[in-house]
Amino acid sequence: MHYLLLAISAILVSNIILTRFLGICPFVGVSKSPKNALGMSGALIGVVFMSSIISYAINRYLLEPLDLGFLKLIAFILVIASFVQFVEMFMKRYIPSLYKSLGIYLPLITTNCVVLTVALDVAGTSVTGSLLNWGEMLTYSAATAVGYALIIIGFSYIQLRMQNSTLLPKPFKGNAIALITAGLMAMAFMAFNGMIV
Amino acid sequence: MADWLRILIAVAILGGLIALLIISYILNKRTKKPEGCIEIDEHCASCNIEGCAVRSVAVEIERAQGEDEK
Repeated sequence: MHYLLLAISAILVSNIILTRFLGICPFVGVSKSPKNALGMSGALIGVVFMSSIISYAINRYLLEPLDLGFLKLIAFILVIASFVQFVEMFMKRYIPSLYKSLGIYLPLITTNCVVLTVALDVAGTSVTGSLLNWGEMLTYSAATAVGYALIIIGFSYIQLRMQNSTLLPKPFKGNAIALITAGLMAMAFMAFNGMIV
Repeated sequence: MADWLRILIAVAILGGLIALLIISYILNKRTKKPEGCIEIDEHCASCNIEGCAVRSVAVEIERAQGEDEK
């Protein structure tokens, strides 16, 4: 039950885009077509999940025992950047079909702040306040990435409708209406706060 | 643990991670792309984020270059 609550909280109640406004750049840019949003989401879920595991392990078994917690930020940045390079290389070599569909999004993910924030969260530096255990870490990182994917894919369909709308005044077209819609979505998702008592 | 030893370990960890990044970057660059892949264009042309300031500058440069060539 505890893990389910953690997952629901990460996906709906404390969605990383709508409550913390992280990863807004790809959220607005990539979500202009559902196909791009799907590709980006797939790549992001894999990278967030795996980089969180590596970052958590480095923090728990290397940095914390040696009292080197101040290295977290720089160490995680380097770990994520290296991991994305290795993933790209692996996909090029062994899964070319996957590389063809997701490869173009991997360089974008290196600079996506969601990946770094989840790594820092699971290391207990920001929202959570204390170290999570392995189960909580896996649930939280997977659910946060799924929450991001849910919003970016849903938003891509909303963007499609907005692009085809003839009723939209000119000053609102493009990123303006996208950000207003994101704000309305954030307010709508605040309703989920009442779910967990 | 002595402070100098902690600093030494921190430097070693950072050095190791930077080396890992450089190695992974070089290996990735050397790995050939599978056939039929989309080549990522320079100057942000492949990026879908149209509102980005870097992209708008890059597009202006490309336009100016195109006009010069004409």
